Amino acid sequence: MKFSLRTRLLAAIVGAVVLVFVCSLVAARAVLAHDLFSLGRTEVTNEAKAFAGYVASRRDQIQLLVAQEAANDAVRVAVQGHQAGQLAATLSDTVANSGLSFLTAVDLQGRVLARVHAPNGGSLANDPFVQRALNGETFSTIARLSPSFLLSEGLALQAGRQHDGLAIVSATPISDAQDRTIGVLYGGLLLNHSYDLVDEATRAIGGAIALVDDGTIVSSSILAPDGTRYVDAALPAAAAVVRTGRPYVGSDTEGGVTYLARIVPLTTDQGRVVGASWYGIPMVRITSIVSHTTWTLVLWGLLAVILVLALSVPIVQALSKTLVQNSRRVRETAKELGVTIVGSEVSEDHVTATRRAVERSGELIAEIAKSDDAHPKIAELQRLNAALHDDVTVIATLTQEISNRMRDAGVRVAELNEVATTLNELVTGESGT
Amino acid sequence: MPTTEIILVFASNADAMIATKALKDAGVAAKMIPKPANVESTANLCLTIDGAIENEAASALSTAGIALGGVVK
Repeated sequence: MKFSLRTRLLAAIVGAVVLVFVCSLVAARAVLAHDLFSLGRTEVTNEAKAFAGYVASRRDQIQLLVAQEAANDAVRVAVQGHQAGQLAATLSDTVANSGLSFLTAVDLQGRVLARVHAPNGGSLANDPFVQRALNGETFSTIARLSPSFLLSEGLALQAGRQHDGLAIVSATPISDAQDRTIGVLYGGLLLNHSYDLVDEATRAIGGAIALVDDGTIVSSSILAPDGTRYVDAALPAAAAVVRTGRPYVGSDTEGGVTYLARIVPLTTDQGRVVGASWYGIPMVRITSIVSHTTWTLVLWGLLAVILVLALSVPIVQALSKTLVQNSRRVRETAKELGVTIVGSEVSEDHVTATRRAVERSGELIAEIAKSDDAHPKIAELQRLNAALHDDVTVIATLTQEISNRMRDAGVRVAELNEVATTLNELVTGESGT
Repeated sequence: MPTTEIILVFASNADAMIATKALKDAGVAAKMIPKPANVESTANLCLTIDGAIENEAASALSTAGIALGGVVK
């Protein structure tokens, strides 16, 4: 199947535009996706750090609260006098106003003097945080609380039975008037199924946040597909972060939504990894920009193709029209030249015949001139015939010269005609005859 | 006073033809004749002109860029 020159020209122009456009589109899409993912990684890294700042701020807040409460005269007097009822009432008021999950006072031997949500009694002498406070240290930290501790504090239900609890805790020594340690005040915020921290941070920095304990989400602002809060679900990537202690940045699907997430280990004030925090932004925020840009480029590309066609069609039409006209003119000229060549050959034959006739005439005149009774004007006839012979000779020579050149021209015309036919076929796609 | 005719010789018949046209355009009278037997030339044709206008003919041929092969007097 042969296509005309204008079809091929237009196809070449459109093909070139489409090729350039497709290459540009692929490159733009790749660069955009790469840059957006880099930007997204930077964003989740920065926001994860911002959330870590929230956690640190909350930890400091809890430490300040527990330290202030330990310095409270009512508490100090109640601990010194082992006034459990008075102490429990005071601690309850503090917990109610501060949002703490538990606040427990122990004496110098680690015996529990008062609790807020559970009966008094028992011992925390072996609790490492209580021991540190009894040694005079005031601190706050992220911690993993054992199921037995949570049960004794009445928090087992919130944490989930037989499950550790992730918490922000603080302990501080209680001193008497002479600045001698008489006990410890130990309080904290259980993070399992507590959403104030993640919701507040999410409102401030956006995205979605989760706290992970033992590979399971214990608190989050992630929404499940049904609109409920996405918790108590496994998060294997976080388990790997806790195991290796190294942060993770990458794609992660939670609650049916794919996020670009950063998972960082949560450590105690002494550097032990006890859990992980997860921060993510929906991947669709990045992919939608890439898709939107891609479609915009596609639309502009189509517009460019249409504009190129609108501009190039008239140019190609004019060009091909001129070529067609010229090729037709060449073919017509070639045809005329062919007739001229034939005419030249025919003329040469006639001139040759005329020359022979003049020569024969000269011979006859010469024979007559030899006789004794020749006409008196025979000499004049001989001169006239000689002049005629010269002229015929010149004409014959010229005709032969022209005829030779015409034969050369004939070869050229045949070539020209072939070129014109090919050109016409190339331009119109029609077979020339 | 009548002058004798001279013969202009060219390298080829084509030159003789072009020279005829050039001389005609320049207003120089010339007649094309077959090469006489006593004239040495590679062309079969030559031109004959009045000897008195030889210089005008030579000038016209030079202006037209035609090489004159020789003059036979």
